[in-house]
Amino acid sequence: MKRRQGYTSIGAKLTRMSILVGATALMLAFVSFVALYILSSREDLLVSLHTQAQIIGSNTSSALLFDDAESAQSTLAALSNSPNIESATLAKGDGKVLATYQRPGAIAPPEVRMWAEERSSHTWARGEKVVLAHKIIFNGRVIGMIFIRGEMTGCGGVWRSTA
Amino acid sequence: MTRTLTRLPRKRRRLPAWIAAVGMLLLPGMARAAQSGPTQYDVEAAYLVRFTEFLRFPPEVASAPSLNICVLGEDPFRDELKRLSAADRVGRQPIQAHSTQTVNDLKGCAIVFLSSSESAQLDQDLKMLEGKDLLTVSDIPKFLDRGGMIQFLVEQDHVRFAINMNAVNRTRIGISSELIKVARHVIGGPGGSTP
Repeated sequence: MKRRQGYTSIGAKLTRMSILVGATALMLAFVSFVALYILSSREDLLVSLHTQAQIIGSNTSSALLFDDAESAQSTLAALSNSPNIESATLAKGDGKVLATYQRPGAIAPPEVRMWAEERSSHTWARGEKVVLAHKIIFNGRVIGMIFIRGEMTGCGGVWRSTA
Repeated sequence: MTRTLTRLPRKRRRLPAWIAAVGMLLLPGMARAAQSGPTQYDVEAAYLVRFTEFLRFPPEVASAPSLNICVLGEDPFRDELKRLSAADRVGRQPIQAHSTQTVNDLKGCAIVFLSSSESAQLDQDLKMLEGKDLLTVSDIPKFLDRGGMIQFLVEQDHVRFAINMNAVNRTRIGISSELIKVARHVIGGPGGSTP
């Protein structure tokens, strides 16, 4: 039997439809996976930055109180062991920079910025970079601020890890 | 047009006079601004108060109504130490600053700053303070070598300090490792109890 021109069989239509549905489902699953991955890696990075900020805060309190840039610098240098941290800036309570850290090849350390007084931490995100700012409190008084810039393993990370 | 051209040189002649006048007006303000920066003794006073946050004193000192910082000899801090002490406290314990001329008046003091006016009788002072749970601080040269505990030093326009742990360990005072970390020199090891 000769098939009429412009008409396709029901079987072919069903095949196409199932391919389309399958592909859409796969695409949706992939997009969800990527979104979930980005969100979880962002969350992981924020937790890591926050932990590092607290460690630095407790280890630089005396350097901040006694204006010891050398000691602050050596404490910040320990960040080189954290591969997701690009750079950091340690500032005194008045905003004066005491020490900075910059991984080789990374962009300049984050600038000192102010944020709402009542919050002890604040984050700024731009692309895959996140800057976490954290107030260093000693005996109930703000003695300094630490700004840490980290890199998210976002879409690039997904490609790298799934490749 | 001609009028403008003829007036211009006179205006130019007046310009240095104006600059001088403005400079004369600004100069006293600039001089005051230059003087308003903290002096060496302002910084030392601030450090004396901050030391209290990194020290652990024996229970009778820690439970006293106030933690006393005393200056022995001529007081170089003027009112700065008193002002800073009044604004701070260690836990719930207020800090008070006192000035005295004799070692016998140091009873009740937790920290004593030996002023440079004590240079001549420093060995005698330190001998009298031996065995007392009192943190001795000074900026007299060779203070640590003579048995003092913390000596202020000035390095590149910054006030720093050195610690003699051997002297500190002879008392019941504990020094935090955070304070030791920022000291320029440390004589001796931790030895005693460190908070």
